[in-house]
Amino acid sequence: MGKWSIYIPDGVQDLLPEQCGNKRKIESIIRNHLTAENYLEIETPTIEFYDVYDSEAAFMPQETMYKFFDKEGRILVLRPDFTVPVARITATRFRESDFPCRLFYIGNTFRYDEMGGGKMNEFTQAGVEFLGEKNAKADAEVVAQAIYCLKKAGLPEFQIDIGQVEFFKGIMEEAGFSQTDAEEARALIDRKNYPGLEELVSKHDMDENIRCIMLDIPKLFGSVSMLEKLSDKKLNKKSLSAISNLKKIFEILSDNGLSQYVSLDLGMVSSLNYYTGMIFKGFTHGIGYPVLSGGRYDRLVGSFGKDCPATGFSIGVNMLLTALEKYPGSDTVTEMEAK
Amino acid sequence: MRYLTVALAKGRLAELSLDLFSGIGYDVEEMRIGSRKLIFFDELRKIKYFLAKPADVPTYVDYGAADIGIVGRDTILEEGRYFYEVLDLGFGNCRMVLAGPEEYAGKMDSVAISRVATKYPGIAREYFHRKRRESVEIIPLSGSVELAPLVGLSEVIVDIVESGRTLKENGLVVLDVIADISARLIVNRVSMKMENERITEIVEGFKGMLKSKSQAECGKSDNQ
Repeated sequence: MGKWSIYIPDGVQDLLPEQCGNKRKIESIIRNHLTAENYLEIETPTIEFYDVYDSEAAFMPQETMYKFFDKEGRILVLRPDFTVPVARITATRFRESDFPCRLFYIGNTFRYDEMGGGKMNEFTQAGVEFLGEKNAKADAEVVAQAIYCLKKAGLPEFQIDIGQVEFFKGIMEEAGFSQTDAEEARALIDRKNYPGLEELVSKHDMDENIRCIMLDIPKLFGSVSMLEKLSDKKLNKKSLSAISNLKKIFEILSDNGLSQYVSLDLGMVSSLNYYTGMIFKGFTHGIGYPVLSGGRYDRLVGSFGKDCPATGFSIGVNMLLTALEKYPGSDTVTEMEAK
Repeated sequence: MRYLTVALAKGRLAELSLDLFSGIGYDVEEMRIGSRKLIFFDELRKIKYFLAKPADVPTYVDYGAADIGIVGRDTILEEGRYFYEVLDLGFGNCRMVLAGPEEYAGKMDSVAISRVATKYPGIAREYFHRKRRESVEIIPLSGSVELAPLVGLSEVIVDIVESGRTLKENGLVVLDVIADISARLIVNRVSMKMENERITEIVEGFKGMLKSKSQAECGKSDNQ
């Protein structure tokens, strides 16, 4: 018997019947809901070529991926996400007539030291990709689907924060920041590091108007009415159209009775090379990380050879389960029985 | 109403952190009486406080086990965890520096470093990688880092410096300043959104106190 035969590697877990049952229930609820909403399920291979993820548009640091080789010595990876393979398929297997296209997936992804997975290296993602439409209506639709999935799974309290990366990019342009400075500003704003941001801004020459806005960005979170604070500021086309996109998204969500679940955060600025518009994250009590994340990423499918706008999200199913365990007597079982 | 949880760093920052809370009218007196209890409750405001090793405060906040934490920026930079760093509390001031023997002073551009001893391997690595663009061997130590160059373990050290006396007494000098360090208020990113009102009350309260404190100090120096 080998030395490690009774153990399992770091970052993976065995799901015994009770936990496994609960997880399957959640996955069924999500699958049933999305199918009823006319999303089509898709499955991509667990093993992909490393090259698929090795691009700026895909933004996956190589040290986070499980890598190995095939018979010809080519580098393979265990898929660290689904969005990139779905983009690969969209560019190579779909025809014009197939768009707009609503897809969903549920399956396991693999990453070293994934903080958001709660230190899990293998975790299940359930997500949606809405391809072929570049407008606020599509953006609002995917946010709504995220809300419905969390509600149907029985999560009693959660909040979805929505931001827009083009707003920040527009401000960086106006401030004349170099790539390096913009990256520094981005990291400080994303962490709401007010002291650090003040220090950075004081070192640079810029329009007083833009300076004020930049210092304010991390505070621009809360009710969508905060956007009104910007109405008297001089913003460039990029930032203005970002705000207009956000306003429309909130309007549509409000028309659908979903305002109570959503909130604004213009200071949410991660993965700028990946996202090209709306960006959103879902939070709930009991978990220190977002339980879902998503946004618009119009450049990804194009990197595989065919331009196509896209927006979507993915839910961390393991985290959702952990969050649900903290609420005794959640609705999960009754939802299933109702079906 | 949910308990708001506050993680405080044991040691020199603890008293001053408690002063901030009592300064805004929060009752923390129970924590000042040396006791073995690990967690303290303010039932009136529904707040839980606990003291942890400084290096662990970012961990509690990162995981959401604490909503707010007070800890030095040296620990924040070293731990590299994800949370919001919202306020510079203006105490616990010191500097993170590169230090070494006097002979190295002024010659840093021409000298080649091969070994650096430090309590802060993450910070040291980042400094050598980004600023000096050098590949060096980082030797992690737990304390009394000034010993390293004196006994030939390393050429230089990365350490925090307050008055500079310890360095001077050991024949070492500051060769470069890496960062200014002070106590910071950090907030878990989910808590910031979901407990926004209560957290903002604390942040704004602290801000007000810091402002009036610095105004008082300016007033003092004007009168001198």
